[in-house]
Parts: sequence; C-alpha cells; structure tokens
Amino acid sequence: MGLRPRPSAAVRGFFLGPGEGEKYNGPGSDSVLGRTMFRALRKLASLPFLWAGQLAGVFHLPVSVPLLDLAWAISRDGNFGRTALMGLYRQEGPEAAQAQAAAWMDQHPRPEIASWAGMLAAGAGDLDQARSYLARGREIGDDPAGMFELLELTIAFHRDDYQRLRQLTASLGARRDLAPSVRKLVLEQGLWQAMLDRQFDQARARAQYLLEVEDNQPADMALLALARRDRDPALIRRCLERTAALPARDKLYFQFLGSLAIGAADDARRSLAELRELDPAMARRAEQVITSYGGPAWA
Amino acid sequence: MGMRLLQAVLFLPGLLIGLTLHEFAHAWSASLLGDDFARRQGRVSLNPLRHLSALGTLALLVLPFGWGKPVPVNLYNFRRPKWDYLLTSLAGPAANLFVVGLCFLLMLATRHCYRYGPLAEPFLLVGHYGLMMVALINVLLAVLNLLPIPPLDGSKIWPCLIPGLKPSFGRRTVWVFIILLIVLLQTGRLDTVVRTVIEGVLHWMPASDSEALDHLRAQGTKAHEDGEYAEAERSFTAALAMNPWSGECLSGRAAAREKLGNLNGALEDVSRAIELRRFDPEYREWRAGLYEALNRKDEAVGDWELAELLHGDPGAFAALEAGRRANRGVLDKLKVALPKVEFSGAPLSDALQFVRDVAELDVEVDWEALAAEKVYRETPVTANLRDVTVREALKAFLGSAREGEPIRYGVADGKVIIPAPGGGPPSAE
Repeated sequence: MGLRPRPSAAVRGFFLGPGEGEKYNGPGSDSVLGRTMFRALRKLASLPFLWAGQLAGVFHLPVSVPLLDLAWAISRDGNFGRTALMGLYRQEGPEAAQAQAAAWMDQHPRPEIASWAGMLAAGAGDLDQARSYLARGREIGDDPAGMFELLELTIAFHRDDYQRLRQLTASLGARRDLAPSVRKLVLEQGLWQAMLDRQFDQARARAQYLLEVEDNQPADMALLALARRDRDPALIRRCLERTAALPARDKLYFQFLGSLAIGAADDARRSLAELRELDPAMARRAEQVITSYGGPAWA
Repeated sequence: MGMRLLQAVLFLPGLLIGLTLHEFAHAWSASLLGDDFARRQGRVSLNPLRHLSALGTLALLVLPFGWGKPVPVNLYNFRRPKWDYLLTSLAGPAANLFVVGLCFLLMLATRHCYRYGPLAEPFLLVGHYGLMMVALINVLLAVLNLLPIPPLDGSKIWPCLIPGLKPSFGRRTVWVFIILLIVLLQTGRLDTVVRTVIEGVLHWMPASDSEALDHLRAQGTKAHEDGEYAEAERSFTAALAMNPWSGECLSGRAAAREKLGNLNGALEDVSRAIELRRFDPEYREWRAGLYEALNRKDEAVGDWELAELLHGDPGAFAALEAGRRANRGVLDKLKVALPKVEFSGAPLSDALQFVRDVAELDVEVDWEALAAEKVYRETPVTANLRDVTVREALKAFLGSAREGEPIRYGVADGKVIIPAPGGGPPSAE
C-alpha cells in the first residue's frame, strides 16, 4: 500500500473545516473564496428546510422544530441556529431552548448562538451564565449583527443595575455602528434620562427624533408628560390617541416616570399605586429606576 | 431552462457589476451620512461575494431577474433620518446610472470596431455588445428599483418626501409586495416599462459601426435587386469606408460596378475579395470572366486553372501556394551577392557544391541526364567573376561546362534543379 497524499491545508479546510485547536473562522476552508463558496453551498442546501420550518412555525406545527434543526445541522450557520432556537423557544418553552443552546455552544459554538443563549439565560434570571455567554461569544468571533451590545444592555436591565445601564447608554450613545434595536434602546434610555434629569428641551428633541423614524410609544409617553407640563391640550390628545394601544402596565410605568419628571408628585403616586396592583414587579423596577436618580421627588 | 441559463449567462456580468455597485453605494452613502452599521457588516466593499444573495442569484434561472443582499440601514444612526435615508436609498439607482454613463463612454471607444484592423475587430465587437448588455441591465436595475413597491428603493423614497409618513412605512407588509412584484414581472405587466426604458436607452446608446455597416449592406443589396446599380455602388462604397475588409461589400460593389460597365473597378474589388477568400473558386471564376472581358487572356487562364483546381481539391491549391512560397525563398537566395568567384578548371561538382555552401541552397543534380548531354561531375569549369549574384555565378558554371547551348536549371519545390525539367528556359523562375 502506497502513501496516501496529504491534502493541503486549504483543501482540507475547504472540505473538513478548521482542524483541532484552530480558532473558529466560519465553516469551510482557510481561503476567503473557498470558505464563502462552501458556506453558500451549505446554506443553499439548508434553505428549503429553513423555509419549511418557518412556515410550519407560523401555524404552530410541531414539525417546525426538527425542520429548523435540520437547516442548522446542514448549514451550521449561526443565524440559522438562532432561528432554530427561537422556534424551539416558541414550541417548547425557554427551558428547552436554553438547554439546546447550551448543548450547541459546547458542540458548535457560534457568536449568534452565544448571544441568544445569553438572552435566554438573562430571561431566566441566570445573569452570571448570561455574562459568561457574552464573554464566550466575544472570544468565538465577530458580532456583525450587534447582538452582544443588546445582551449587555439586557443583562444590565435584568440586574436592575441602573448606574451600569446609564454608563452603557452613555458609551453606546457615541457609537454609530449599532444595530437598529440596540440604538433605539439607547436612544429611548437617553430620552428618559433627559426627562428624569429635567432637561426637557433635549428630551423633546429626542422624542421627536425617535418619532420621525417610526411610531414609538415610550417617546409618545414622554411627549405626553411634556404636553401636560406645558398644558398643550392638542398635543395631549394626539399623544393619548397614539398610545391608546400601549398595555396598561407599560402606560402606568411611563406615566409614573413622566409625572415624576415634570414634578406632578400626586399623579406619580397614583400611577405607582395602580402599577403595584397590576404588576408589582414592574412597580418595583420603576421605584428602582427612580432610586438610581436619587429617589422620588416626594421622598 | 436552456434559454433561462443562456439568459442568466448573458445577464451575469451586468448583474454582478450592477448589484455589487448598487449595494456598495447604499452602504457607502449610509456610512458617509453617519450610519456605520453596514460597514460593520462588511458591506462597504466592492467584493461581489459580500453583496450577492445565493437565492437572488439562483432566481435568475427561474425569474426574469435576480437580486442582491439588502444593505441593513439603521435610521437611528442618521442625523436627519428622513433626508439621509432618502439620499441612501437614491444612492443605489444613482450608482447604476453611473455604470450606464461609464458604459456609454467606453462604447464611444469601441463603436469603431473596424478602425483598428481585422485582428481587433472581434474583440471590439464583443466588448461593445458586452458594454451594451451591462448598460441595459444597469439602467433596468436603476429604473425598476425606483418603482414605489417594497422592498424596492422607490418605496423608501416616497415616505421620505411625503409629510406625515415615516421611513419605516410598509416594512411589515414587505412580503406581500415581493409576491406582487414577482407576479407583475412574471405576467409581463411591467413589460411596457421595461420595453420603454430599453428602447429609450438604445436610442441614446452609441451605435456600433457594425450596425451601420449592416444597414448600408442591406441598402446596397436592395438597390442592386431593384436595378439601381449606382445607388448600390454608393451604399457599398460607404460601407467599405467603414470596413475595407468586408468581403460581402467588396463583392457587392464589384457586382454593381460590373453592371455599370466599370470592369476595371469590378476587377479591383474582386481581386481584394480574393485576398480575403483565397480558396473560393467562384471569386476566381468571376475574376477570370472579368479578365476575359478585358482581353487579359493569360491572367484569365491562370484564374480558370486555379478555380478548376479549387473545385477539385482545395488542398492541392494550398500545396501549390506552399510550393510557391518555398520557391520565392530560393529565388531570394539566388540574389545573394558574391564579391569574387575564381574557378579555373575545377570539377563541375565542386562548383555546384560552392553554390550550395555560399547560398545555403538545395541544389538537386540529375547526373544521368547530364551524362546524356556529355556533361559529368569531373567536367572542368572556369569562371573569374567579381561582384556577381549567385544566379550569375551558377549560369557561368553551367555555361562553362558545355560549349554552345548552356545547361538549363529550374526552380521547383524549393530547390534548384539541374537540368531544368521539361527542357524549359534557362530558368523557370
């Protein structure tokens, strides 16, 4: 038996992916063209399963989960993996999705899966685990979709660490490469910080900016508070119309913050009381936000 | 499917350039206006692989169009969301129109496809039609993208212009519009738009000389058929001014000139046509007829013979041509100058060897035939010459070898043959 020729690194990489101990740099070869072609072929092959799985998911059919899993297994694309986890989350709940995400992070770690696993862990209250996924994800690779910033903000939210949230908002506020969801969150935070800091002109400008892009009920609630302060009935009416669809607890939350910002202590107290009845956890969060600003005005 | 594949292959360069520049322009303009989200995703790049969508490229085989990966634009990163989004949306179609302009400029250079000789002609023609295809694809990309149907760029432009509407208008219903767009394209409802655009662009596009030539040639042929020979000659002359190597135009003008009685003009055109199509017996016959009409019998006979030969075996003509080329080489060597030739009673074989050596000539001697003339290898020759050619030296040697009538030599098959076959003149050069 003769010696078998050893495939070059590029050929081996094209067909087999990175070897043991190599840093993950996407499936396929070490060359950009080879990697892209290989990835594109795998993605193409998995697309029918992805679409079928998504369609089945619209009708809540259980077959959606295995189809999405298959799409992920063929493509090993992080975005497909995240879609599969989301399908599992909808069909079988957060625990199943979290367990699956943990398993996939061990077998085929991807930045997209790390961010989604972190979001699930944060949602479940396991903030240390969420932070560890965030750190792991940053080690694995780049995050062009900007999900790590979202995870970082989410962790700060769930930790009720409003000082950290303010720091994050300030540092992210200067960046211009954020994903739309993250940037919107940062701008909304900035809006309410301006409200609570009583920088009303800045708050009004931020609310109008957010509304210029798309409908935004937190911005409308801020404008409503400012309209009440300015006694502008036309604007009050418009804001009330636009926020009519906002869930009652969210409305009460923003009403509490807005009333407090404009110094309407009685209104704030009343809103907080109603919020406590409706959603005590959210009421606690509202109080914590205010505490981070030095406590309620009436205190 | 075959047609679709061919269509895809023809569309591919234009689409590749068009889609890449279109998406790059969106990403680049967004970045210039403050949104670096597309840059973060690697989209501010002219690498087509970053912009092509696998599905959009495959769609080319099924649908009459394809698409690239949409550039993610984060409106919250803009300073003036509506205005900046409007500019970013317009940048894609503007990039396609830039490509169209560039193609037009390059087509001005490639339109004169016959100006730089027959070798450059096919490249210029292919280049011209390639540029035309790229321009048409890009103009269609620009125009179709300006339709106000999501997810096309046009749908992003008008919410930015109409007060009260938001740039994010219609995002949620995008799939409905995609299906609508596919239906419109597949059922041919947009054909009017497409046809109008293509006809408009073709009207302004720099036309290739080949199109003008085709037109003039058709005009000349029609005039000839109608018996308007002077008009036919004018059309073919105009066509030949563009492309002097057009065999069809040369023969067309020759036919017109022949009808008009201009036999010398016709002969000139047919001779040029023969240079282009050397193995065509009909052109030879035509020229033979013209020679006869002009009372140039010898030349007519030569062409009739060649035509006969070409009718029988075109390969024989090629061999004859090759032999002629070889003989021309021998004749050139016979012209080589010799400063001094001194032979005094030297054997004829030595003298001929001298000719072989100095001129590197292949000299074939039939000693048996010479012996019949009482000339042998040892026959002494004498020649004292200065500043002569090899031909003159050879004639002197052969003249010295026999008193009275000199021995004749001939040139055939790339060789000097002694004595000349068939007892022809001293040289059958």
